[in-house]
Amino acid sequence: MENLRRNPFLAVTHALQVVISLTVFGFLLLGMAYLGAFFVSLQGMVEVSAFLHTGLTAQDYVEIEKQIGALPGVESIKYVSPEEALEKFGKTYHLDVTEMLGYNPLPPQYILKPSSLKEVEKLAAQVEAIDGVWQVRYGRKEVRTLMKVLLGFQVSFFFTLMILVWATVSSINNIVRLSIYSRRTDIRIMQLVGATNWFIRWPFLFEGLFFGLFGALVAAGFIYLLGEAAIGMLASLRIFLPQVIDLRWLLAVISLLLLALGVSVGFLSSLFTANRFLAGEYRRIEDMRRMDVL
Amino acid sequence: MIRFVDVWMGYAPGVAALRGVNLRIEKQEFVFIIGVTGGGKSSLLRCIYRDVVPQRGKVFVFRKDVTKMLRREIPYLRRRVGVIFQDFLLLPHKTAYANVAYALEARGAPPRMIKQAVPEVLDWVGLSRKMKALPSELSGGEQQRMCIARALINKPDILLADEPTGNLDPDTSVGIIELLQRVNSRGTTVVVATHDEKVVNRFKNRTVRVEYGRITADRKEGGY
Repeated sequence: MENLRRNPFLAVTHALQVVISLTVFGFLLLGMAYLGAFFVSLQGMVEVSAFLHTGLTAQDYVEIEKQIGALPGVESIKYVSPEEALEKFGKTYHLDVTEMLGYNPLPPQYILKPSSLKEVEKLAAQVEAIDGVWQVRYGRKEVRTLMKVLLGFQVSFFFTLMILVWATVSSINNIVRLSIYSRRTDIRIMQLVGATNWFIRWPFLFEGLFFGLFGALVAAGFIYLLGEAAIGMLASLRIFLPQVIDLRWLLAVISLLLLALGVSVGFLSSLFTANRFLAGEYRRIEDMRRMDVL
Repeated sequence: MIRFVDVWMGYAPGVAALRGVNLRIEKQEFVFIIGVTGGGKSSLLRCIYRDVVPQRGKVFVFRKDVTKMLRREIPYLRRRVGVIFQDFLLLPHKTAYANVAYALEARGAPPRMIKQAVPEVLDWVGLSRKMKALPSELSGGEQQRMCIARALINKPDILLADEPTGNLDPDTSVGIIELLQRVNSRGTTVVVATHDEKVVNRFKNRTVRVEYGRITADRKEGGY
């Protein structure tokens, strides 16, 4: 705290740096988490339609449903009769097919929800091989594209997260280093009057913890407020940005993450930087011991 | 109390600041270390409070070889060895009281003890009226007194002074050395590195001359 009074410019810079780093980190994380949830929700929209031959007996239906249900990778199964399919078709395309053709051309079908996107192709082939199943459709091309996009997102999410953590940690680290360097005379005096390394270290640890916590609270506040505003906006832009995740929950999780990151990075950065600084003195002595001056 | 045994020490390869120094300083002695600038006076003092370590030889302080001292033992050595410098090394943003108290705080002394001891020692060095003054508000002599107070607050057995009068006028310099003699008369071993000829000649103390890293003279009742 004394440093705040003595060097307000450095203290404000320190606080701002932590706030900015964590806010940027929080917003990017928020965006990426939302995007991730969006992709996951797309995955949930994938369905496999198994069209059946017409003229099957009730026993055939039971048998087919039993066989499909026993396949691995089937999350749920739903029977859609030709009448239901016709009604849905009519609602979707505003057409009355029976009026045009004089009969209902839609076959009975089972709609399956796969438990994983990776299993869709295999599952479709297995369903297609079942007696009584006429045709299977699931949008092969779209599923493949979605899988590629998902994989790309997962990889880039991981790397971006690593880069973000690294950037946040190093930017906080730099400012802690600057703070310690600005007090090297104090440290030198402390060492000369017999202060132990822990006595020298703890004010820096406290300061790191304080700035980490303060920065995280402000950043979390920003994200929470702006996030709340975004939720309102999303409601009106539902078509373009579907609400695929409970954003309030996401905001709370990210705020907690920021708090944990701010406190731990603030504390650990100070600990490592102070240790490195103090070890520098020890290294100087050890280098000296090894020197050949004779 | 302090013993150097064939000490060789340097700051760069091939350049020795101390060359085979052998020296013995007894308890409660007052010793002037004299010689030209760069002759090795400061290096000799720095070896005592383990700010540097010799490449060869042994330095015994309180019968312990400080060259072999562990890192964690150094703070405890420095609590028993007070050091004052030519450039004072005071914290500019702290008052005289706070600067002196700092040395006690650094060793974890309780606040009650600090409140009692700091005014006493500041009074002893003649700064009782300047307790709230910042270093910038004090004269060079007063700053050096503040430094002495800081070094004395831990009641050291040894007080090392590295050119304590280097930045002071002759009268103030005499005042500082007189103060150091008072410290010595209380039982503290005092070692003063100086090139101030007048000061050394005025006080008839043991004088050790260091030139080019070697001890070239050691006189009981000195003179430059």
